[in-house]
Amino acid sequence: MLVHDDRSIDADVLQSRTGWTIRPEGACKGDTCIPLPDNELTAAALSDKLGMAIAKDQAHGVTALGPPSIAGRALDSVRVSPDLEFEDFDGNTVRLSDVRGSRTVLVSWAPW
Amino acid sequence: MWQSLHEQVAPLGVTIVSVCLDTAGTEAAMPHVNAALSAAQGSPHPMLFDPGHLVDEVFGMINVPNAVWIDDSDNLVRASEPAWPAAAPDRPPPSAPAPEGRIGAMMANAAQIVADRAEYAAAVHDWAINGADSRFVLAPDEVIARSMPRGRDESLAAAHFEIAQFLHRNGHQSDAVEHFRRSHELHPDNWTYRRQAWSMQPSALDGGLERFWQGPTDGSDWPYPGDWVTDIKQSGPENYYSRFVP
Repeated sequence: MLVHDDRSIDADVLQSRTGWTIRPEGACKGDTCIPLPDNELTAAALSDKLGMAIAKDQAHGVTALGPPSIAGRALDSVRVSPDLEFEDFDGNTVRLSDVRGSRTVLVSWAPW
Repeated sequence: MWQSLHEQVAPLGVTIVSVCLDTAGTEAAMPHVNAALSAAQGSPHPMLFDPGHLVDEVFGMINVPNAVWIDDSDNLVRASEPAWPAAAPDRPPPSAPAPEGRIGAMMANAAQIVADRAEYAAAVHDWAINGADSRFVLAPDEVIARSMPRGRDESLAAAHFEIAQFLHRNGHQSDAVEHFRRSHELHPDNWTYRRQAWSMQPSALDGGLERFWQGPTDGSDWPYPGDWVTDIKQSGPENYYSRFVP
């Protein structure tokens, strides 16, 4: 997750990338809420509380947060979250929820 | 081939959604997409494009093709695993001698890769027929337990991979390499990170099987310590994909 200001993370971006939302109780997902220090949404707080590692490229002024690692696994819940946005091959934005059927096999592939 | 499976299971309530991962754009994917559209007997399955590798980050996919199953309550019932639309077709005897050199080595490697194609395709069919009663539907705890391990190193690898993609897309290809390399070091089991990075190196090879070559070529400056042939040999082609576990 690219970060423009690591002292002020965009809560909407956090939610769209990780499924974690920001509430008065802190960072929340499902039934879990983790208080954030001073209720501040900073890269350091997310790194400390959600295990989102921070990488930087100083020369280009780019910072990125990795996905949460506090669960120790890629999945912390079986609930499909977030509702990812993709493009179709006509360049239209498509949400996963727009194209899913009642049951779905979601498969990744690559031309390489 | 995913289109064919979609046509078989869609009438039973299962939708195949394929997501193409390629930081470099849609150009390389289009021949495959167009082939699927041409072959479609019915409605094409949803074919999406994910240049930012979001789906592999969210679901913990570390190779392609990998898939997850989502039920009608929006819950995952199978974690990410190698996925196949059908058993491998019987191959006719080769009509030409096997290529030599690097392409021969690549093909020899590929021939030794183990993939449980028939087992996975059969599981999808079973889910299509039996739904929640399918023996391949897993309990939530099992789904989570089978998902990719993710600690600090894997999270940091993802962060470096994202920076690398950003730099590559913005014209800083050589600077991107250092971040790609870091992602490979931090998450050595992630073949997607390696193959995506290798695929974006300029290559003198083109066409046919040569387009799959991911490694140094004569006179090229290959900036990675590994390549597909070497790394497969080191890890063992039988370990390239994990085995299907019902």
